[in-house]
Amino acid sequence: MTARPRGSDWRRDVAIGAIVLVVLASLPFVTNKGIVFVAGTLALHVVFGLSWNLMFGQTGLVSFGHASFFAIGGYAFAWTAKVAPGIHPLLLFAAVGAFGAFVAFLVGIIALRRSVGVYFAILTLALSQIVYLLLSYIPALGREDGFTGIRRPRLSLGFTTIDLASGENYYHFMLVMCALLVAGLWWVMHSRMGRVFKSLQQDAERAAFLGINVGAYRLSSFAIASGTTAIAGALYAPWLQLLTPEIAHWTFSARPILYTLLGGVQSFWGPAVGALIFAVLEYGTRTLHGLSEIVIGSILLLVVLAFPGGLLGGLSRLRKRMSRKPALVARPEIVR
Amino acid sequence: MSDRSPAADPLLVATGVVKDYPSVKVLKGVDVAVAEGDTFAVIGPNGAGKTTLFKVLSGEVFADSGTVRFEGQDVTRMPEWKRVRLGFGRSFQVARVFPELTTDENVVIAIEAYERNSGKRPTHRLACRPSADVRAAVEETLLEVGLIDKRDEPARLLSHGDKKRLELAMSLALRPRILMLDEPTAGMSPADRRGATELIAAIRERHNMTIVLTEHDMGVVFGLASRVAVLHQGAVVATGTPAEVRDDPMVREIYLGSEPVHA
Repeated sequence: MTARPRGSDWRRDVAIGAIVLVVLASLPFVTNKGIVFVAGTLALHVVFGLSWNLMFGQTGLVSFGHASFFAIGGYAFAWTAKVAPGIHPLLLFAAVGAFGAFVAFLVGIIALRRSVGVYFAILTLALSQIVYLLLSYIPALGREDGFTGIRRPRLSLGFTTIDLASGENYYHFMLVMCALLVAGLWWVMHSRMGRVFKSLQQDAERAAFLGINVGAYRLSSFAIASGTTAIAGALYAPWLQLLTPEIAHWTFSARPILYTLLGGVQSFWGPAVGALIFAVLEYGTRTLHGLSEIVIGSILLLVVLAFPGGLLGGLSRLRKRMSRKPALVARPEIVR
Repeated sequence: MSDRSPAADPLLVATGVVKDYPSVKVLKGVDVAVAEGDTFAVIGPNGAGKTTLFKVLSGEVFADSGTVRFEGQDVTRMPEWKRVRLGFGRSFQVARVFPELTTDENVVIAIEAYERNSGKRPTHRLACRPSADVRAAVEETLLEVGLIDKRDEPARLLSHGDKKRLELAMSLALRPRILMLDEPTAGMSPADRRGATELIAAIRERHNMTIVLTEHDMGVVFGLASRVAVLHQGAVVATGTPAEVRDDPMVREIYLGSEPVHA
């Protein structure tokens, strides 16, 4: 069930990623604007969920305030693009990512110093509430009314310039960016650094007795996940062209947690599957006023109860049971 | 009660170590000195403070007062991961490995940690797959501890004895100067115990390693140790060669008196 860098593993993940990317990219040609909007937002939420799982499934850190980095990224992009419109958008996205990682670094120095587990969770929750309140009070950021009038930039690539404001250009640009971020996360999880993260998730004390600087690696994981999410947030700003403090609210921080529980914590694509299920449920119940939360809530409850390891975890257990029955009988300690 | 080590420059020296937990005084001024090449066994009845002393020496907890020195360097307040980089290796009483990873991956992590600790940079920084050097070292280590057949099994499915072997393999991968084993044969059957003792002896010969161990089983202690310290109620009551300690009247009193002998 663990994600490991086996020969076939990366080919499978690349294939899944490519298929999803092609399907998403072709949506504007076959469906209406409503579904394209849902799909674009889904792509951002996939990055949001996967980066949270880099902390949780891979490193063993539970953050309840991941949305604050999404919001920091969004607002940082919107504000900078407004006051300094000359900056190249790609540079700005990168800078916003670095800024998100830097904020996480500062917070992490304090929050990760002695506290992991529930203390870290509560401290990140407190952070998200602070960000939420700040966004609601700072006039330059639009207070509770939100940051309005965010423009989709023009993207000059040297040989050509793409106007991201026209047609579905921004949607396709966002897909490419999300694919890069997902590829980056995949690499982090499967690299040497990812193996260290995994060892911390499994047994941090043991890792320390291998000479691993546990604090520094936890901090790196937190910073990488937060920086990635900040870029997703930055992409969200011109997508919606409006930001409200709601994206820093703790209910939004709960999203990646739900995605991960729903899809599966152990497999790379788990949170992405969770985000997809969630998007489908939300879209399907959008006309059921007041009922939508109840329907979504009950389905989530059902899935989590039926598949404690998430949907992908349940599938992989099922497959193992089919293919390795003799081994299971021979080794009774497997059945825990 | 000070240790009279024959070596001029002991490798690991603890002086006047005091450690209290909220309601109990666990260590009341313990002095031990481990010379290079020693196999130093800490024995004593349950609750004597063996494990706490072990934790203080390895850096899992810090002493309230007193000092711990390694090669003359004061490491009293040095966190465990830094001590590991100086040359400490340790195993836990209940073997601790990375349960969801395979035997192979456990050792890969240890060997890559060693490379990082010793400042060696990987040739292909971006590669996900462990380098050829690392894979070769993994193979060698698994052969040495006899786990090569189980390299693809998740560590949580290994038997208790195999988990201990795996943990030993991970400690060995760090090429420690001093190997600290907390009850290396705890919970093993007599046959496994003999096997583990032989394995430790073989590793000691091959790598010329200094070993500190705590142990309940006197057979293991007298089979392996070159020096023994007896801990009783948080203080060292005797130190010496196994034969000296065995004949010490006070030790006999402790072991044959009110406290039961642990086998």
